[in-house]
Amino acid sequence: MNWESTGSDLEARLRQIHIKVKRNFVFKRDIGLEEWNMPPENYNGLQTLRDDCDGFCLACRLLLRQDGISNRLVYCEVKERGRSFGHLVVEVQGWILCNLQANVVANDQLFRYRWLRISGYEPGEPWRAIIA
Amino acid sequence: MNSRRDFLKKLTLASVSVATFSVAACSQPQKRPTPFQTGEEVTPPLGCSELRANDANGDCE
Repeated sequence: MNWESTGSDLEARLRQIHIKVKRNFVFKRDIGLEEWNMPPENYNGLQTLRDDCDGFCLACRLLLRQDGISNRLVYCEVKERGRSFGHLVVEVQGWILCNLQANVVANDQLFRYRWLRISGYEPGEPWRAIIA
Repeated sequence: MNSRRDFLKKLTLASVSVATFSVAACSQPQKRPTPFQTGEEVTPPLGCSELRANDANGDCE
């Protein structure tokens, strides 16, 4: 399926993947240094994941890739109760998959998020600054 | 009596209108967002660099 041209189908599929990962995701903060880990090799969304935002994103990314949906990782800052913290989300054509959100949300609806850096779509592509 | 009946009729009508509008508004798909515009090349977050160093399959680029 060409996900570039089917807006509402794409949104529905993103919601399914977001819910699938979130349902079995247990937030676990990194102790000490920031550590990113890939999900297990046989990950299909049904196994329980204990990780923080980056683990959530890498799990979503794996399922999105299995569906042939191009996606990017986005590093941002989230403002909460007067302070900001670094955070990672996944982006697909402006839709955001985030472990802090109950559902998939459009990037322009996340007013407390300051978008900073974004990965490429494919391995080897550089990260870039977000300008708008 | 008639005025009370009229009032209840109008109240019912208003309630149904509000409920219908709310359901219609909630069922609308969200407006399609605009993908990010990107600029200059930057370094990946620290966690990504470390993942790539430790795991050849680390998919964070």
